[in-house]
Amino acid sequence: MVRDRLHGPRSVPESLGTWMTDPRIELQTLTRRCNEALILTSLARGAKHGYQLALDLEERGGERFALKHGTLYPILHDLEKRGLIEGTWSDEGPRGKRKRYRLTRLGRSYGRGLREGWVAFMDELSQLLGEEEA
Amino acid sequence: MSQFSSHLRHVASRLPIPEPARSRVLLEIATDMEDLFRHLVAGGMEEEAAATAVAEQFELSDDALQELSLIHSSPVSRSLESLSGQARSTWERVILGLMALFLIPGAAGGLFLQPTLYGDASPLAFLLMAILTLGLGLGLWKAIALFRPLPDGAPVPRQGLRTLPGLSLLLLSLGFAGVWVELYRSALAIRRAPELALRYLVEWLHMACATMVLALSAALLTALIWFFLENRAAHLEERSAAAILEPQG
Repeated sequence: MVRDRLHGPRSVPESLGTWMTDPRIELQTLTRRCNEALILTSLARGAKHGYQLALDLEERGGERFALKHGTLYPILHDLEKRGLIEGTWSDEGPRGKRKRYRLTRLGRSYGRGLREGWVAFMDELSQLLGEEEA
Repeated sequence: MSQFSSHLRHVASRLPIPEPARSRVLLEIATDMEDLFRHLVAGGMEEEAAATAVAEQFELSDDALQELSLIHSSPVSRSLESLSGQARSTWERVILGLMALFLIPGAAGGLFLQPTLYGDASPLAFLLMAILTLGLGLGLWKAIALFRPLPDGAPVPRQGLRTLPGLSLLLLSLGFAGVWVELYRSALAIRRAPELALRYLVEWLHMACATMVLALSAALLTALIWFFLENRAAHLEERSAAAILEPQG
């Protein structure tokens, strides 16, 4: 029962509802889903370079949610491969070429589902922990 | 050349990703490292401390590297990249160049100039030619972009390059489709007039051969153009990555 209520709403079209676009949160995928949600939320506020993403999360989330820059790349490249974000190289004058990520329409929808899934998950967790204390 | 070249070399030595994806990942890490370094120094940190902090931040664990390897090893991209990556030596390129310059136009060019070929082929032949023209135009545009000197640090203009093998596949598919559609029409005609079966079959054979000659030649030409351009793009990316991996000194 709890497991069912942990699943986020399926705002991603069913035709694309494979593991790649399924925003459900399960215990085995907690860390991964948390990182995905943080990255997608940061990108929902605007396109960013990889290092800007890590800085943004550090500034907004504090040390608890700080991601080491090196751990970002597998997540970013995975999200890019799944079509949730788009990375484009551009020439930025004297700084040379830089890769910048932006959210795709699918990523926006997936991110919304993921955030809602997290809210539901946190409610359930609070309820479970409350029961434990009582 | 990057001030983090030793760190990048360490990452590169543990990154089992096929080219050119490997060079792209290294370039992305290198540019992000430089930007974070500038950000920290601008924030008042000593250069030495900033360089140490950046190297720590960009430490990639074995798990992260393995994950990157899995992400960049999809069957399609791996086969496309290994296919284009097979001709890297000068001699291999020379042989392929000779093939492209003499064999293909020699074998197919003469035929292409014969108007009867288009008359004999399926009506889809005109669509094939339109797609070939599109492929040639795209190839020319990408060749100009890839062989023109690029400013230092400018991105390799890859946009549209992957369209070429797609067009090649489309040409082949349309060729086969044309042959089978005409076979079906011939079968209908034979059912209406069985006494003319032989004539219809011979006409179909004639049409099928002409269509497939056009489709195969056009697909091969488009694939070869992609092959050379993909090699050029990979070469530019490898050169760029090699530059940032050079030790400072």
